[in-house]
Amino acid sequence: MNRHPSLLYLIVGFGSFGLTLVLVPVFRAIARKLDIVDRPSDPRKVHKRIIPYLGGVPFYFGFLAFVLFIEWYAPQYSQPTFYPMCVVGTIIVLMGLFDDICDMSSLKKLIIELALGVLLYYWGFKTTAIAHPLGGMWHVGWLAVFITPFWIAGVTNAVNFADGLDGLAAGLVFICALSFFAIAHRTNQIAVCLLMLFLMGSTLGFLQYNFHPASVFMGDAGALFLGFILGSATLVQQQKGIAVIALAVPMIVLAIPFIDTVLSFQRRLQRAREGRFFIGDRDHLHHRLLDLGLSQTQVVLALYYVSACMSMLAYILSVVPPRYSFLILVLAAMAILFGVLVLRFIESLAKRTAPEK
Amino acid sequence: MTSEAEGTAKTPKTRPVLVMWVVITAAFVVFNSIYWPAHKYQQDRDPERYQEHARALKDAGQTDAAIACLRAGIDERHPPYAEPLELLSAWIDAQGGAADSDYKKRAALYEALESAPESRAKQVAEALDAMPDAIVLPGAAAPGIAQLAVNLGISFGTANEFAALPFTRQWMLLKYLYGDVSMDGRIGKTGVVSPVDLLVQSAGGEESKQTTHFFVAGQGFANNRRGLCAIFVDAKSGQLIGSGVFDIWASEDEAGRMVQALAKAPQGCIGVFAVHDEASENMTDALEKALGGFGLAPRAIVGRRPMLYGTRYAFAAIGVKGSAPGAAMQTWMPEHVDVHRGHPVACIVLRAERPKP
Repeated sequence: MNRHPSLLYLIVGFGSFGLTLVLVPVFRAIARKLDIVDRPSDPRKVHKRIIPYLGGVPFYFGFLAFVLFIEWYAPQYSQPTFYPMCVVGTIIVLMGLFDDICDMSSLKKLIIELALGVLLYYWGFKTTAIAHPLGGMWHVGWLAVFITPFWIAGVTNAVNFADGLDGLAAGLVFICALSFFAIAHRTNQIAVCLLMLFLMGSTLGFLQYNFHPASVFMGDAGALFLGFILGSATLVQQQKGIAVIALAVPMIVLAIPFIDTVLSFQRRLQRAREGRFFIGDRDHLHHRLLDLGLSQTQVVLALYYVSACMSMLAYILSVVPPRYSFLILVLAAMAILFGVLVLRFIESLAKRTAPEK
Repeated sequence: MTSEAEGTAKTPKTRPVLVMWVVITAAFVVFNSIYWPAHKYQQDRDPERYQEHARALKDAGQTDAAIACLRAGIDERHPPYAEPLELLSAWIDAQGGAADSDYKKRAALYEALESAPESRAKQVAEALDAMPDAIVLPGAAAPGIAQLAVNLGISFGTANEFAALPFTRQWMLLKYLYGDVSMDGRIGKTGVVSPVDLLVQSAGGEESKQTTHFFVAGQGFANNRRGLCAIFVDAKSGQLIGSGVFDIWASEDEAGRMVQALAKAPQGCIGVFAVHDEASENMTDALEKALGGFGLAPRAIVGRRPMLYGTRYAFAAIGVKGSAPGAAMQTWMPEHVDVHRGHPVACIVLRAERPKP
């Protein structure tokens, strides 16, 4: 019996919003005090001022508070997977903080993320099936031990890669969480609804400080943590006793960060021959849009818009009968392909006109 | 916005890393110190963990409370295995009281059913032979008893053996293993005496591959459609006056349709209910209230609210429209048998005045 607890939803949404609103200035001050700041020395960086990190640490504190609150106030909606999420989330935040302060190679981060994914698999995130985009399920059996970590690490890194402009990652996570909430609400997945409301409240609170011009960055600690919560939340609720990875909907919702990750991976593969696979570059989607002459706010709003459109497609995909799912998937693929082609066309046009100037 | 600054290594800063790691670790330690006591408190009150809770009470020297807790859990959930029944009998014996013979008999039967498959039928027969006092069914056999005994046998892999048992032995199996049985025609505490024999069986989850069975005055009905199945019987004539299957798993509209059907049923009529697979997903307050009007009562406690969670897996009830909540006969079986969730349960009302055999 899954009647939606509206009051609980309001408390979680507004509570996480308020907590983030209060905690971000505190951690901003701590970051300044400890000199945990981002200096605009790297050519890939867009900002011109010194900006403190640690803006993402309140997400972690908020999540611990959220789990405690659910356990105390509404234990019927608590999930056995919440505690493992806290443990793994703690390790991810510790890793992210180390990366923010001292730097850490992408390879090491990826290895740790995959190891944590395996830990999660054996700690309650035992998925055995993948929901077929056209209806039905693929039973993946033991292969799930590989699929689960790659899925979680994929979403985690997708959010981290999107964290390149003021307000971009937080805004995209907000839009993704909103669409996941709508889908989970329709299918009575209350635990997922609660997690998404937590993400929505936290990111909205954070955007008050992080939207252009940002006064604080979430850092890898925040971006990795948000991505981890988003990725693992898709595995929290089970369908009739079977944990199912519903790949199609999250992949459409997260289309922007996923495309960026795939394109980044492709570029890294090209650089691999020079031994620079794990070295970052300035060719992320947002960088390319900036190079076309758009302002930071325009780029962020444009990516919000595309993400919102994809989210609506994902919602429609979750509503329509399976026989129409194929059309939605083709539509989404065509929209993505069209977007990439238009971007490349405009880029080539800009390159051609640049020498004339 | 993060630096993602591989290749432009930051100067390692040990102090800020250590400070932040200590902050995060301290927060996690504080979280654990609050979370685990709260979690244990909730787990102790989880209806599924009544055995652990009873054992904890016993270890704390509160034997009366432990017995009450175990008895309540057994009566609520009808565990289909010997362990809790044996434990309860042993505790009552140790206290010097006369152990409830029904619990002992059920324990003996389940112990026999837990034996190796090749000797299971023989062990059950021997257990039944050891309790000759239980044969208290005067008059002719009620149609449906044999069918229900076979259905029970399907769950334990002894369908053929149960089918071959004499009627008196089949009757004992149902009496001790199957749920709520009335042998004087009275329907629970409603004060109504049924003019006809009523038998209703719910078979548990869909994977049990059994249907829901009704027998009204010897006439059998079967349903294999998912949801809550209801049959209305005139309390004076014993005539069937209506029926319906409502797929409450699928939508709230179905719950609304059932509310209307319950409202249309005449005051004082007998309502016979059984779940096939699942009927709790879209249970509404209005439907819970309407079922309460037939004397059904919220059974399982979820969080801090009693709910009719029993309308999932195996759930059967016989009530009378206009009676007080809790007055109806109601039985529920959420436990696993042979990896299937819920073995069949039944509510059985047999008239006291029976035709001669």
